[in-house]
Amino acid sequence: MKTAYCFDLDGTLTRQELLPLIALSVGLEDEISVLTEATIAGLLPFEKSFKLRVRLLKDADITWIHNVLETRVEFQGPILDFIREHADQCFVITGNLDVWVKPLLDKLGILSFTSVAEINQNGQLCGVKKILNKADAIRTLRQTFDRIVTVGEGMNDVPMFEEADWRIAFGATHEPNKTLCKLSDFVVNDGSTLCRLLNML
Amino acid sequence: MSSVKHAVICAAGVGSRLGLNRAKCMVEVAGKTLLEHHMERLTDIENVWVVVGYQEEDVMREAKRLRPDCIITRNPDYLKTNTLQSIWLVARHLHQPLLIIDADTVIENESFDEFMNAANVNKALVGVSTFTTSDGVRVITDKDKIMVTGFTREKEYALEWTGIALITPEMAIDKPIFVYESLTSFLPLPLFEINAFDIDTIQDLDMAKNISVNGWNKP
Repeated sequence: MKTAYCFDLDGTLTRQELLPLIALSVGLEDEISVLTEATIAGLLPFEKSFKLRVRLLKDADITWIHNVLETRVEFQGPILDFIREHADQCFVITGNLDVWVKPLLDKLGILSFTSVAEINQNGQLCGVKKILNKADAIRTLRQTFDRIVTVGEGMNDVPMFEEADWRIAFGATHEPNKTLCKLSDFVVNDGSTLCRLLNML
Repeated sequence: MSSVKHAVICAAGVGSRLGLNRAKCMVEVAGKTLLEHHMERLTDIENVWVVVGYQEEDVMREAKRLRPDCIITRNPDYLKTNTLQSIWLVARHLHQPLLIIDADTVIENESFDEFMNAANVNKALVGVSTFTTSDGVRVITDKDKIMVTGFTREKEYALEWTGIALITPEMAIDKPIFVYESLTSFLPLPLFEINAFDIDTIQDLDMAKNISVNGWNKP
């Protein structure tokens, strides 16, 4: 039986949330955090909120963003080891924007599913071409894999959990979203425990 | 580290007979929740699984506080399923023996350690107790009192099934029967006496509080 392991990025593989760091790189942390809080509180759907956040951040120099992500983001060490040992079976499933998170994904070196940026003729970010529906990513993997294990922590991981065979809510960076917990088979709170569990499933 | 690699604490049930509006593992005896007593006894075991259901958010928070590296296993069907099925949710992933414990059990620490010493050299071991409760299941033993040969509801047998056992994964199945009924197909199984009883009623809780003050004086 072929198993795929699918990981959310922000706050799951990384010890930090990425959008606040991106916002910090251009001095828009207040504006972005208001949108993030409204989204977490369920006042704004993720897609709308994400489009707004991209609009706010679209003029930011992409090299600043890459720089802050490369210097400030730490991965969950034990999970990186697991990914290296199972590179052909591990996937990043992130709603974040391809052009922003590229350096992190390059570091991980595994196949990923992301939202897609819209780039204008001058090579500048001008919006979002496609927001990733995480359920679509799982359906795509289903064509190649018999069994899908998912790991996430936020509301936008719910569609991914709904399509998966095994669902692990991960609370290492912060408390996992309550709705997501209600859909999960397991809840674990640190990286090495997660890997012990993944090796037993 | 213990050679027993897995412990499963079943904490999903409602505990309706006790009539408290909280999960039974959250009941305090001697100033600590039952879950805290369990976690303190299991520090040598590599993988502690806690099966949650009723009031799961409270139980998850307490489990995380006590043992951040425990694996919370959710049983969303806790109203329709029983302890055996909660154990199966974990056992289906395992290939090694597992220690099973009902979260609503009060256990004497010293006798638990002795049980674990015996569990370390057995593949299966059934915990039995002379502390009996009003509706407990009793065990029938061989004449040397080494093996459990049967389970019964007849009160004339002196030893009670505690819900504590070392089992192999295939002993847990996804059927709506009691744990002891599932174990019946694997009898005879070695037994080990442990000072323990489960809290199902207010009388049991009173007995637990009495023991916490006066110690475990054998009946």
